[in-house]
Amino acid sequence: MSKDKKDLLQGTLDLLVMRILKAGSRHGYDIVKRIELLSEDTIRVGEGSLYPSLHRLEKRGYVQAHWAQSETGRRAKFYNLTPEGKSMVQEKESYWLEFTSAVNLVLKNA
Amino acid sequence: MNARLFIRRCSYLAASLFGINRRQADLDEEVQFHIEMRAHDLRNSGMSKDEASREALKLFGGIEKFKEHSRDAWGTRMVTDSIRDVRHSIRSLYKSKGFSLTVLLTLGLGLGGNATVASILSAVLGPPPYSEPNRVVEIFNNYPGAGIGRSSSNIPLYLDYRANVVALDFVALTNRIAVNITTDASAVRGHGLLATADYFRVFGIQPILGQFFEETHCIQGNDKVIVLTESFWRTHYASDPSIVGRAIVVDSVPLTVLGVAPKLAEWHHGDLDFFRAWAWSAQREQFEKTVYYGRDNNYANLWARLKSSSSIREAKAQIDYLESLFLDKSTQQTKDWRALHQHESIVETLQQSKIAQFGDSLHLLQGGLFLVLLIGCVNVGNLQLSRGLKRLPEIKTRVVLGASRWVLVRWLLIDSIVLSLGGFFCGLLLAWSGIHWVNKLVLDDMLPTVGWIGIDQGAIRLVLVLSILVALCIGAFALSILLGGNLDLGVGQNTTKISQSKMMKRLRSGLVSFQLAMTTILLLVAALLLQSFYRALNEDTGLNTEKVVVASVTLPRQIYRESEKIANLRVRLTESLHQTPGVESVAFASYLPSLSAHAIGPARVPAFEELNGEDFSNVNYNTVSRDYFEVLGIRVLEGNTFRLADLRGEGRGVVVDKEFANRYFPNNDALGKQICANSSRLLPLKKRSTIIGVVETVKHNGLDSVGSDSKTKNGSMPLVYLPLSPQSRDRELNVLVRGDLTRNDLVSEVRGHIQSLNSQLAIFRNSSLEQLLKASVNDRRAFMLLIAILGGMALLLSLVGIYGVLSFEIRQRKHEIGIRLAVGGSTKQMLGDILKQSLLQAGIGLALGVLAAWFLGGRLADLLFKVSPNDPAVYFITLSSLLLVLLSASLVPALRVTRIQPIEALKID
Repeated sequence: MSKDKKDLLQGTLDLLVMRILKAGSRHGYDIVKRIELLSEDTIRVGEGSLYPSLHRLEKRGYVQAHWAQSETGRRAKFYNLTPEGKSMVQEKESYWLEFTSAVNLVLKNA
Repeated sequence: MNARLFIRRCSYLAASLFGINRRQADLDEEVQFHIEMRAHDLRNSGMSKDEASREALKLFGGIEKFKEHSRDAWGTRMVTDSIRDVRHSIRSLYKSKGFSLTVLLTLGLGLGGNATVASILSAVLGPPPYSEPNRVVEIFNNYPGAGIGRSSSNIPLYLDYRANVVALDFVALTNRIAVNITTDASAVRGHGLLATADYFRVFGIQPILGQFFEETHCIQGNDKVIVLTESFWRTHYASDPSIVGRAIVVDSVPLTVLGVAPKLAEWHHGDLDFFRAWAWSAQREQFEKTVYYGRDNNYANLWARLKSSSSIREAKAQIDYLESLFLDKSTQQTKDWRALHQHESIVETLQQSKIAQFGDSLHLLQGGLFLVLLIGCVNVGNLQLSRGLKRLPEIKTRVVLGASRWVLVRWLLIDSIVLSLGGFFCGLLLAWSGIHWVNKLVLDDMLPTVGWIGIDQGAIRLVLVLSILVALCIGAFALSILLGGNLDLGVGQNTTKISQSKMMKRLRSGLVSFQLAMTTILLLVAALLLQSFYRALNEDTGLNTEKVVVASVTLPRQIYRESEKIANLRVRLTESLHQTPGVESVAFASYLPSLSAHAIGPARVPAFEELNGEDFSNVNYNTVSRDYFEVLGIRVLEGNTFRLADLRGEGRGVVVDKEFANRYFPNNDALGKQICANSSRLLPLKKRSTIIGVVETVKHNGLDSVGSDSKTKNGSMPLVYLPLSPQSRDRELNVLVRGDLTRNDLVSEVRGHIQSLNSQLAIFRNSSLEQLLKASVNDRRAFMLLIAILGGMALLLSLVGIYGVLSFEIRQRKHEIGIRLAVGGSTKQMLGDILKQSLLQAGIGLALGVLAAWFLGGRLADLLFKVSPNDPAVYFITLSSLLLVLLSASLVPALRVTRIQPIEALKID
């Protein structure tokens, strides 16, 4: 049971990360802050799960990384979506919307 | 997954693997950046610098754990850990050099030996290297009724099958000939094949130079052409490409070189120098086609290439149909003859006929080697076990520190993989040198029809599979012990407790017994074979080979066409040899005992037929001069040898050997009786000869020929000696000279005398008879040597095994023995105890081995000469000496017990 839960969360985090990166390349800390901002501080992403998620996506070829100057002038690792990542985020997003609206329907009408 | 994605993933993995340090540094920097940014933001929201830094770190959580997670995400963790394990295991193997060396040698020998024999097997028994080898067949005639198998073929059958067997694409007839080739330097004896035009098409061979002969060359008058083999061209003409079109003198006739055949063409024939177009005369063809025995007079090999759409079965059915058509049209005489001899046609691929010839011996070798490998594996497993127990504290430490079982499994597995990989490379190295050795030393004698052997792909695969199996066996073995439950013991506790567990003890003694059983089988088989070989070699040959020198020549037909010329050469040679000091007597013979295959044919014995009806088994013939018996020291038992009248061709005397006399005249009254040599009951009894003498049976069909009880094997055949008369046209001249070998170099003197009569004759088999006979069994000798080495290896390995197990056990039981000694037990008692135990193990192994060998014995019977597969003497000697050796091997470690000091032993725990 706990395994399912973790998978679900992991999948969700991957979706959120990729969706954020769709707008352009960002470094890890930026992604965390962006998610917090957009979710109005509801979702707090642990650093302990963000970086493994990024590395996993990189390993799977959906995300690419490069080093560049950050806004503070310090070198940072920036991530952006690969073409495969872009089509993947499309797919995942529509799946998520379908899924949540179905869940909402059940919750509303039950 | 699309290709780009795949490449991206691969390059990421590769970068993680090879740039692990870089990735590590990147991660550190990334984390550092993250924390700094967080601290920066916190400071902006009003925290002090120190507070912000602390809070940022706290928010990030456990950095090391985080890094671990990230590394997991890189997907390289297993690989890097495994590499670490490999390094660790190589280091620890390097530290225990004795152990590693023993294991590598054991596995290397076992694996290498198996690969060598597998290579030989596939070279000998595998499909020949021709294109589509399963379509190349040989067609034989079998006559089980006469005890003749795999007899060859002839011109009438060739013509008939070529025209009428639809299943065959090409048909060719060949005949092996020996000639004198005059090269620029000297006369050499050459071996060639007379072949019909389609020969090269049957085997699918293309010339490497020039061209092959065609149908037009196989007509008398057009046949003065020759195709050289690659070997002959390279050795005698230094690969000169201008050889095509030049003339070569063969038996004094100049022949034009048409082309050069590749090495592949020699593959099936061993030593071969050339091919000649075979053109026979129209008269000969007509005669053979009409004479009643034409289709059963077998002197040439018939080859064919099957149509790609046809099978051997179809070809055989069509041939059988042609034979039945032939029989329908033939006379009663022929029908009777065929029925009597139970004629059948055989169609076989080259591979099938090789398997029939060499299969048994080679499979025996392979089986023996496999046993040796098994024995070796048991040893390695046992050694690994001892080593594993020594490492138990280390393993326990790792378990306590949190290593999972999987980590341990991986560690042990990698350890055994490293070991067996080492064994694999050692094995390949040994196989490579083994095959080199086989090619160099034994191939010519042992497997003349193979030509050459390369290391076989299949053999390498076999070794690879075997070493993986070995690795798994060793690994599983060590695992089963180590994961057998007792890992929860405290770190400090003594390891002896585990090794004393009942399961382990049983496993160890079971393995030793198994090992001994294998060794027993191998040693028994080796002993039986060696005993058989020894008996065959030391059996009285009936010949006095001391002081006899031999020289052979083949007289070219073109020069020695008339019998007078041949007789004249013999007379002149005899005269000049007699004038040589030291020469006692000179003789000539068509065949040399045990060196050349004698003529074989039927014989009619009227006196025998009156009483017993006809006997259809064949006898051997040799045509010899008067002094033949004297030169070879063959004892005359009754009557006389040839008189001058016989030798002049006027008399009708023959000499028979004792085997013949015993078979046809059991009442010892052979002398004066009549026989018809080379005659069957289908011929009128006209050329009667009288038996004028009976001589001792000699071994004339090979020193290692199988004994006199079997009818079908040539070793037993009765022998009839015919007088060598001046009318004889036999051009195979074997000169035998008895003389004082020490006085001067008789061998080269005989050669000189022949050459002074005709310098164009190539002399072969020019040596003392004793040496020639010794060399004639070299192939068997090599085989026996291999078998003996196998037996020795097995014995050595199992000695190491039993020694290792016993000394390990005694070391483990030191504590217990110490206590028993302290409370009054005697050393003698302990010693007896230990020996009893090891003898029990040995006994079980030996009993199992004997049982298995007993069952296997039947398969061996064919390879044994005058030794029963269950020969009690061989069993007794082998087993008792094995037991003795084992006892002494266990005595050495057992005696250590006596040196145990109770006080010291008690200190161990």
